[in-house]
Amino acid sequence: MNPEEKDHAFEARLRALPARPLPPPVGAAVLAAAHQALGQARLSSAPRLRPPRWLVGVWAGGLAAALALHLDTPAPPARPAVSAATASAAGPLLPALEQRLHSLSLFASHSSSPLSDLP
Amino acid sequence: MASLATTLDELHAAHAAGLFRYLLGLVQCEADASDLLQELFIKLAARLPSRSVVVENERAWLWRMAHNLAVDWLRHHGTRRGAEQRSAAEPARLFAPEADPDAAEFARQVEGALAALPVEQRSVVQMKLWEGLTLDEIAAAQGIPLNTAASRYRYALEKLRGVLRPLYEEIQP
Repeated sequence: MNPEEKDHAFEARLRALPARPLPPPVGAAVLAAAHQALGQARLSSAPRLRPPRWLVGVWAGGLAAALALHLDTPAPPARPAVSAATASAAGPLLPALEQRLHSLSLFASHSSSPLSDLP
Repeated sequence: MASLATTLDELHAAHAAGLFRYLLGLVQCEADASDLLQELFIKLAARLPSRSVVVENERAWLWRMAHNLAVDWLRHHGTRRGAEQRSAAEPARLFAPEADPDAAEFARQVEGALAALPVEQRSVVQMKLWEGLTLDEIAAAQGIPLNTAASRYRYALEKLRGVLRPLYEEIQP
């Protein structure tokens, strides 16, 4: 046997060593994890449900129209501080009220504060 | 057309054992080889629906994935020298148990000799001798020139012959 043949025989001897099988628990775990990953990948790559373009156009147009309408609507008139009806109803009372307030202020100006009596 | 689940099952049935042996030979640790195999199949499954897996040589593509995973693992888990030192201390079981004590002893010596090889040479020998890849496929899987794959195989066999000299000398016509 020449050296080349011997090398080939050596290689063949190495190649003939029995291959170790995959441990069943490892194989099962790997396959289960792969199927789970496949399920997730399917979900993420599935086509999303999208409305047709014409519907999106109609929706956007409606929104724009509603917005424009809202902006064009005039603001309601400002409310007066005292309505005319209230003023007319209170009309007869006002002079009496003024008189009363005047008398109170006179009283206040002539009364002395307890602190003013202190030395 | 086969469903994706069936395709996954077929790829697993055809290649998982060989890929596991290859990963085990490189990282020299069963738990890590199992983790890497799982990572490989998860990546594979994630790419199946997008059909980015369509490749001409499925086997070379799978071994390329396995090789890259193992090389990344070796980079992250210490230097290659460290991995080789660990492997030399306790070589991984790459071959099926033998009933014949002489055959079992031969297998153990080969496992020890393989573990002592540099990772680059060990990976080529494993792919060529026990997984049946051609040198072209090995070069594609490892991203190296064909000549490099051939020379690594030659150097590896020379080292194996040296380490296993008594067994080599026993070979008779």
